[in-house]
Amino acid sequence: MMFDEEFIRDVTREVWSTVLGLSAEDGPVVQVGAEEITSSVDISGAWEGTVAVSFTRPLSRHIAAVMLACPESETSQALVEDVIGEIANVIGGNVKGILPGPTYLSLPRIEPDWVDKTSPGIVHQLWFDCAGHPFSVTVLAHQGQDRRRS
Amino acid sequence: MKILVVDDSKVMRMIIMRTLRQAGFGAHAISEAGSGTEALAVLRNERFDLVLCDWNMPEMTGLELVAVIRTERLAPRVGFVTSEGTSRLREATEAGALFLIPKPFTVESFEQTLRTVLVA
Repeated sequence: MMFDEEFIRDVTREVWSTVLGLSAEDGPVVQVGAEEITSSVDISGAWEGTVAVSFTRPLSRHIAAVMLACPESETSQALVEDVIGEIANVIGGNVKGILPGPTYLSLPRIEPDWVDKTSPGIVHQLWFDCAGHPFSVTVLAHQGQDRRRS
Repeated sequence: MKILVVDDSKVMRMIIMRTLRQAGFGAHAISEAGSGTEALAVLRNERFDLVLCDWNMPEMTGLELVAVIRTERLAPRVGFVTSEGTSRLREATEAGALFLIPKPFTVESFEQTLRTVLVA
């Protein structure tokens, strides 16, 4: 494996600080509710897998408001999905960037779910805290099977 | 000077345009396009001095867009702003791009890269 947890942690913190101007601190694994949202990108080629970022809905709205420099009440669902899709795109792009050989990045995908610690194929899962809200960054290796919680 | 920002993400277009202003390019006329097709339609009707282009877009990729821009001589300066990272710089330059700004970017990375490109 070309990347370790420290790399994922550094990339995530860099994205949070440079793109959002927010801090991402190490956070505990928490039990999240049903109203969550995940943005992810697939990497294909020499290595095949998925980089997924799972948010609570309140955090996704907060991040969108910060990124758009507007009140949370003015963030539509489409804009929220655009914002968190870009976050997965940038983190996934940086992971892809250190992989050997030709690899390709998919467009971001949004799902109403959270990649939990029991999902098959997990290579790394890091939990963070941002403004009192949990979020996680998960790297999954494709194994030709359903990789997500149903 | 006229600058065209091409990205399928509305949010990213907003952030790039904000970063351009913060980097000192706010006096230039900055326009946006949400796809390669839309960008070509704009560029075939209006002269732009610089095109900032995303790499990974649906329908037409950034590489495909840059190839058309160079072939049809639609803009003198084209570069990528992308999460692909500098590992794709060679591919970008072979397609005709002058630079690649990796995401996440900073105001300083925009200022440094574009000052060099715009005075060349």
